[in-house]
Order: sequence, then C-alpha cells, then structure tokens
Amino acid sequence: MITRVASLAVPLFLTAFSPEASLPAPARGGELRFCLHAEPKNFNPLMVSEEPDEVIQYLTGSVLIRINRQTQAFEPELAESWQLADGGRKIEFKLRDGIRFSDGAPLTPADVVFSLRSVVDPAFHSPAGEPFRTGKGPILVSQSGSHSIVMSWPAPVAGVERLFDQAPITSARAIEKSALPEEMPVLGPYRIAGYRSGSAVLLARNPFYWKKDEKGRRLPYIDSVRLSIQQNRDLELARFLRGDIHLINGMDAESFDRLAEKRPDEARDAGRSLESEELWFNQVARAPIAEYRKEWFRSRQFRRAIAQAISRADLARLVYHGHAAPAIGPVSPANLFWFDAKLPVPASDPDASLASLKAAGFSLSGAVLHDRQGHAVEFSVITNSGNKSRERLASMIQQDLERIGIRLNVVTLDFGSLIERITRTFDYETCLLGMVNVDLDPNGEMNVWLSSASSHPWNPTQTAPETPWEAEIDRLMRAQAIETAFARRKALFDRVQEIIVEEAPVLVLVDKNSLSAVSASLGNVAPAVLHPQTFWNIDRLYFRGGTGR
Amino acid sequence: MGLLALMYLSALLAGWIAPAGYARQFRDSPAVKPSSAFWLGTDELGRDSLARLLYGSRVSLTLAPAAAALATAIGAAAGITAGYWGGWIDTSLARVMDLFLSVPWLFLLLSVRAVLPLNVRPLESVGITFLLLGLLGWAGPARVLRVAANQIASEGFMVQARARGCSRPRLLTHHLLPNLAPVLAAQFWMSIPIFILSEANLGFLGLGVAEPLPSWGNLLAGLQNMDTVMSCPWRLAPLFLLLVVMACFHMIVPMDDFSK
Amino acid sequence: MHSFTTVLLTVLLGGLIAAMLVRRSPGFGVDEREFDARYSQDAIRRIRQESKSAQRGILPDYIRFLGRAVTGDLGISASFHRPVAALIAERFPETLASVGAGLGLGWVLGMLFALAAALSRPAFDLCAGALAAFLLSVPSSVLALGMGFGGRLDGRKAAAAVIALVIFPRVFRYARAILGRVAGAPHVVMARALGVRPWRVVWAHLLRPCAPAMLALLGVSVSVAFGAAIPIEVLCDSPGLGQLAWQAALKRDLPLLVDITLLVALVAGISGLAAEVVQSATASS
Repeated sequence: MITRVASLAVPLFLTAFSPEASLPAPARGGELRFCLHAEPKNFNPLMVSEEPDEVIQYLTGSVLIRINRQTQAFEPELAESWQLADGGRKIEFKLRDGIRFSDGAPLTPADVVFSLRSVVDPAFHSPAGEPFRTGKGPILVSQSGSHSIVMSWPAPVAGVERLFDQAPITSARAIEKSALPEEMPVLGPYRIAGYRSGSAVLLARNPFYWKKDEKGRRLPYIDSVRLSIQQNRDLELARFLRGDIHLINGMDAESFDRLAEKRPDEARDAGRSLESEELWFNQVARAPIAEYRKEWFRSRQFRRAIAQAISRADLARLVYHGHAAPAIGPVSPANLFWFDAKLPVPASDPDASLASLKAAGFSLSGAVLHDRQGHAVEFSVITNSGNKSRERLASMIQQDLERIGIRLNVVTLDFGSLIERITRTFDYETCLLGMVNVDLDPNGEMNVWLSSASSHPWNPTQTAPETPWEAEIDRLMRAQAIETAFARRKALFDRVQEIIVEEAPVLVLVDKNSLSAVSASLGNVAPAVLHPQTFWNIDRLYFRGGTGR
Repeated sequence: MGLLALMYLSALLAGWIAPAGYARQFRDSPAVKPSSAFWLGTDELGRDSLARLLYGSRVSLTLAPAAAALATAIGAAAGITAGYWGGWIDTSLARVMDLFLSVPWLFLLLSVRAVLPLNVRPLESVGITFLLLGLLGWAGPARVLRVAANQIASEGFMVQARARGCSRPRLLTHHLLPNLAPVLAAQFWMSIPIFILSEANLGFLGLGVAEPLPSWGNLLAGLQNMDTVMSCPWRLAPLFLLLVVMACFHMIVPMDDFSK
Repeated sequence: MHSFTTVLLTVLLGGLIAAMLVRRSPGFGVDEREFDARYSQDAIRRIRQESKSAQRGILPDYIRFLGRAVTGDLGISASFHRPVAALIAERFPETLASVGAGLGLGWVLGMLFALAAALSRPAFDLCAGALAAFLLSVPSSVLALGMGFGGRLDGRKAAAAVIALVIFPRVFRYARAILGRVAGAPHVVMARALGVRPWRVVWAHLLRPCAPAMLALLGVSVSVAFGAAIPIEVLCDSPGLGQLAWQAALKRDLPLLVDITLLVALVAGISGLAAEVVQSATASS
C-alpha cells in the first residue's frame, strides 16, 4: 500500500516569502479587481479548457487535492486524506466532513463520484481526464463508504495525485439542470454573482466556504472579485497605474519595465517561469514543402548548426529586456525537480556553426549558403501575428542566420491559420511558438514527446517512430510513466532531455521570467511561477486598510 | 510640391542617407536616443530608426497612393455611372456598393495569404495586399461620388447643356468630370492614410509587411504604447511625416468639393 | 416597396457571401485545442469529428439558418457558446451608444463649424479647414490610440469621441462647401444687408435649402460611423459589436459573423434608402 505522499517540496527561492505571519489579523472587506484577457467561454467547470475559464474555475471551484503553487507540495483540500493502492492503479479518498456548496447544500460522495466520472468521460473533452486513460480497461469511480470514494484505472500512473489538482468537484444537481452561471452552486471561496459579456464577471464571497484562518474566521478575507474583460495589455497597465485594478498576471517585459520605473515595489519578477519560446523544424514526410528542404531539416548537423548560430543571450537581453534567460534544454530550470542540471549551456558560435555546415556538405558562395545540390539555403518560419515579442524574436533569428548565409523569411499568420498548418496541412517549414509546461511532472508532457502523439511538434501522429532517437524517447517516456522510484524516473527523463538537446528537433530558445504587477494595497501576495501566479492563495489575500481603494 | 518631391527623393536615396540599412541590428545600442550616429535613435532591436523611416516611406508612399488611386478609379466609374444615369442602374449599383461595404472581405485577404507561397518576398506579399485593398476599397468613394454626380447632373448648367443637344459623352467629359474633379481628388487623398494604416491593422492577421521590411503602417503601430511615445517623442516621426505628406497632397490637389 | 425589397435581397446576398468567405478561409473549423498538449490523440480526433459533423453544404446551411432566423433563432456562437441573439442584444446597445453619440457630436460640431466658417472671417475658415484636414489625415486608429491611452476616457466614451473626430471633418467639409455657396447667393447677401436676424438667415436661407444634400450625407455618415466602429472598438476595448465582430473573425465564428454581416448590411441599406427617400421628398416639396 502506498500512503499519501508527503510534501515533495523544494521551496522555490524565486518566490516571495510572506512576512505576514507575525502581523495582526488581516482586515476583511474590499473588492479585488483584475483582468481576464479574453471572454470566458464556458462556465461549466467540467468543460473548461481556456485560460479565462480556468481563472474562474480556480476562484470558484475546489478539488480533492491541491498543489501549493509556492511549495509545489500536495495539500489535502476537499479530501481529508488519501491512499494509493494496487501498485498505483487505485486511490481512495476520505472526504472532509461538513463541507457545503454555496447554496447551503452539503457536498456528498455522490457529487464527487459524478464529478470524477464526468472528468474522465470522453464526451466532456476535459483535459483533466486524459492522463487517466493509460490503457485498455475501464476507469471506475464509486462510493466506498459514507465519506469515501475509490477510483481505479487500467495502468499505474506515476505522480497521480497531481492530476486531481485539475479535476473540479461540482454539484451533480446543478450540472444536470444546466444551471446558469449565477445559479451554479460552488465549493470555492467565491461564487459567480454576475456576468456581462464583453464587460466583466463579478464574483461574490461564498458564504459557506469551508476554510477558516488561524483565528477561526471564515475565509476569504476579500468580499468580492471583479474580473474585467480587457484584451489590450497596454490599457490593462494604464488601469493598474490609475488604481483601477490590483493585479496583473503574465506581464510582458516592456510593460514590466515601464511599471518598474514608476512603481518598483509593485513590479514583481518571480524569476524563471515554465514558459519558453521554441523553434522547430518540420520533419513530416508528407509535408507539402520542397524535398531538398526536408533533407535539411532531417539532418542533425543542420539543426545543431542553426541552434549554434542563434544568440540566445541577445534574444533574452533585447526582446525580454533581461527578464528571460537563454534556455538550456526542453525543461526550464524553474522545474527544480525535473530539470537536468547536467546539460551543457548552449553557446552561440556562428563560426563553428558555419564550419559544421561545411562539414555537412554546405558551401558559402559570396554571402549565400548553398547545399550540395546548389540550392540556396532559404526557408521560412511561421509564427502568430500580433505578438510583438515573437515577431522581434523572428527578426533577430533572421539576422543571426544571415551571418551564416541563410535567408530566413518571416511569415506571421493569425492563430487559426497557424494551428491549421502545424496540425493538419503541415504546410510550413519551421515554426516559432511559445510553450507552457502547465504540469511539472513529465507525465504531463507525454503528448509532446511520444512520436505517436498529436502535439509532437516536428512530426506528430507517427504510426511507428521514424528515427531511432524518437524510438528511444518513446521507450524512455513510457518507462518513466509507470516507474514509482523517483531516482529511476529522474534518470529516464534526464536521458530524454539529453536526446532532445543532442538531436535538436526543437530549439528551446529562451525561458521567460514570471512577471506580474501587485498593488501595494494588497497583503499576503506571494507570486509563484505556477499558474495562477499572483492569486493562487486568493482566500488569504487582503487589503491593507480593509477596502482596497 | 517641393516638399513632396523631397520626401520621394529621400525615400529613393535612403541607401545613401542611411547606409546602415533598415534591417541591420546594432545590438549594443537598442532603443537609444537620437545622436550623431543615429539621427532618429534606434528601435528595440537596435535598428536605425531613420533608415526604417526612409525605407518605410518607399513602401507607403508608392503602394498606398497606388491602392488609393485604384480604389478611387473603380469607385469613380461605379459612382458616376450610378449617379449620372439614375434609374435601375443607380439602384443596382447602390445595392452593390452596400454589399461591398458590409461583407467581411478580410477573409478573402486571409485566403489569399494562405495561397501565397511561404517564401514570397515581403515586397511582393505587401504589393498583393495593397492591390487587393484597392480592388476591395472602391465602395466608399463610389457612394460619395454617386451623390455628387447625381447633384451635378441636376444642376442648371447640365440641364441647359442637355437641352442644347449636348451628347452624353460630351456632357460627361466636358461638364460632369471637371466639376467632379475636386471630389475625386478629395476621395483619393482621404484614402491614402486609410490604406497606410489598413496595412498596419492587417499586420495583426499576418497580412501586413513582413519583417524586416518597414512601412509607415507598422511604424505607426509602434505608437500603441503612449508611455513610450511620451518618453521618446522622436518616435512620433512617422506620424509627423504622414501629416506633412497629407498636407502636401492637400496643397497640390485641394480638397474642395463640387460646389464651386 | 421595390427599394426595400432590393435592400433586403442585397442583405441576404451579403450574408451568403460572408458565409462562403468564412467557410473557405484558412483556419476555419480548426480548434485551438488541437495543439493543446493536455489532449490525447483520441480526444483530438473526437474534437475534429464534432467540428466536421457541424459543417454541411454552405447554401443548404444558409437557407436553414434563414428559416430559423425568421423565428428569432440566430444560431449559437461557435466561439462564445451562447445564442448569437443574446450576444448581439448585449453588444448592440454599446455600439449604438458610441456610434450615436459620435455621430451626434460629429454632426453638431461639423455643422456649427461650417456655419461659423461660412458666415465669419476668412481666418476662422482657414483654421477650421486646417483642423478638418488634419483630422482627415490622421487615421482613426491613431486617434483611437490617443483617446484610449490617454487613459482618461473609458472604452465607450473613447470610441464615441473617436467616431466624432472621424465624422466631424467630413461633415464640416461638405457642409462648409454647400453653405458657403448658399451664403454667397444674392438673396442671402441682401437679407443680411437688410438686417434680417442672423438666426432667421441661418434657418430660412441656409439650412433649409441645404437640407436635401445634408440628408444624403447623413446616410453615408451612418455607414462610415458603423464601419469605423469596428477597429475603434477593438483599440478602445469598448465591448460593442465591433469588438465582437473582430473576435468572431479571429475565431472564424461563422454563425456570429453571418449575423453581424446581415445586421451591418441592413443598417447600411436602410440608412442609404432612408436618406434617398427623405432627399427626394424634400427636393420635390
């Protein structure tokens, strides 16, 4: 029997340590205001997949196990305790007593069973359910006692507790009745009090929220939350400076520097995040691009030479104003537990890059590089339009490659067109996009590293691995997925990272810092690198002075 | 006229005035103020802002007026036909104009981008975009010209000329068109800044000028950040230049209407 | 009646063309979840299947849509997952308010400036003309950026202000030219010389004769204002139809785009028609 795993925690030095512990009890009251960057699409917590919906779900919902965003430890939430069994194929939860929904109805095991069954139901397309489908065989959820639930799945899943952080527990009655957002009973610190399309979502305190502070006062401290729908990030900053809003998550470097100039105390750089910018080469055999270009992209020497020609330090310095760092491998060092510290730091060396290309049969004629067949080395990179940072990255890479005689054509496309090209038509040559590792555990990246997966960037949905190194990655990822000994898992995943760096099918360019804005009027804010960076402890936030003005 | 000629000449001689070129990145000098080395400072990637302004002028000062001329020409043909002939021709053309003004042609532009090869040169790509903008942007001028043509057609001198047996072609060429010339000119030069900025707005959909080629549109898009503009007022140079060019066009082709 | 029928046919044709353009555009039917690493291949296959099964022939779909639209069912937005009718009902008042306020302010300023320019000293005429020329030269997007990022005005007020600045110079130039011509007419000069009160000169001898021409411009300016509202609302972050249309365009939301196209075409057609009707009625009276 495998008992509840204690804290995995490795404290993140980059997150703030709260000095609030010795201060008087925080004042209650006020309205917290910040922005959603797009219109919410779905208030049904079981069907949430986009960021605005996830924010609302986080603020209004609750889960059985919560990952503490600061310490990365598992914490009991609605489940008082849990036990893993059957070699990692089964988990039994003991629910807390006395928890009520926001309408006063008690949380019952039937609600939890309904929620978990819905999460794993393919019809809901819930991303939280995908990792449980580890093999043939049913996923079973049932009530095993007056306050306990048992769930089982076909094959062992290492680190399975983390999956429950994303599995919302909701009211079976409300979902079945298709309740309006304002009528949906919730378990989180806030409930939806109003929604105006294009304008704002209003959240009010949940009067039956189960958590209390050390003095026995019911949380949250802040009375209400107003989420304005604001797509324009510059306007968002203007509003923050005016005092209209209190938080900004995920700022870009330029806005951050502008804020830091005016209000240094309110600009928070939590250090390296799990977000990176990556460029990969299209290696899909059936891609409608020139055959000679496919040969280039399949050449390991070519890919490594391109990697060597790009100055990651300049990218971090100029595009992100120093609020990013040259990436070392596919996993950010912010993922302290899984990052492979043995990886060499990549250095930019155009001369060495050119030498490698010459060794691979390319030749420089004037200022233009040619391949063995005499084709001038020229290819395109697609990226999404409207993202200034990414367009600047592309421009800088264009200059770096020009130094070694390669012409790079930058093509910006709207997001829909871009997704169509990289997932369906494969009508592209290279692609520059950002990647976010929402899940620290390598199992959360199975759909990226497995050659058969649809999110395998450079050559998705392979029926069989087309290269020996991809076959090796498949073997390693599958092995670590069922390995329960951490050291062995780490060694397996380290090798995956090393292969990615050696073969360079995807060039991880920079790891961006987690930048946020926090009003000085707010207390207890400790920005973390995990989403939702600034308000992960929303029920503990308070206004100094009580009102938030 | 002289000022305009100077602008066109500067754009043509950009290579001599700013030999560094619009794409070269002086990575040790990002976002610097104007100095003897960089007369208008540099942008965030260390590119000479003066060079980018001059080279951007080439794109905007040639393609935007060309697109405006095309849209005005087509608009004139449709509007004058509708306004002068009247009857069912006028009704049908008016409805076609309404149609053109309400349909989201944006998707046609997206489809054209999808069909273009990935490695098309930036200038070719933006040329095609401006051509399409010109072909699709005729309805606005057409509506105005339709009203104007209709009014002139009912003026006393036109009635007199018709009564005296003046032929239709002669009425058109000797009486209608000369009186419509100011309105035509007004529509033309009002369209130019619209096309310049349309190119920048289309950049949000990947239809604008591709890196590293500059244009006034994508330089003006950099003005989104008011704080940066206030702290670096030299970044208003593209807007200033646009206003000067518009003023010059106004002097040459006064935007007065048909009432004189 | 005949004119109204042609307007209606134009509107319906506009909707069909919009549907065809959106359907054929790249990225249509592509769900962003297809590149979300949290979804397995099976899940993505199911998502694609659902998207495909919702699409049939363009013309049959459009006819079915029109049939439902007659009963008030404008379909469900593919990106917002809400009834389109509800979305439009929420956003239209916002656009109406900013366009209405912008049009009103633009017209009032335009007419006042034109009257003043026609009747006063050449210096004022020159300054007003220069202001109009300046505003015509500055693209509306730049005006929107200035209004929005001054940070003083909220989205709706900023959008209304920009629309006013877009409409004002057009109204001013047109009205100035017409009023200037009429103001120079012998009977008006005589009336002023004889000491007829200024307001009577303005009303009886200037505004009334110019009314038909100004009404024609009104129809055009309504279309210009609605057309300008889309980029302006996006830049000022005003939650109106323009912002909705832009988001729908980015997401290839076919039901929403067709409905908005129909609405815009209807507004353009009816405003043009109304202006023509009024113009011909006043001209004949």
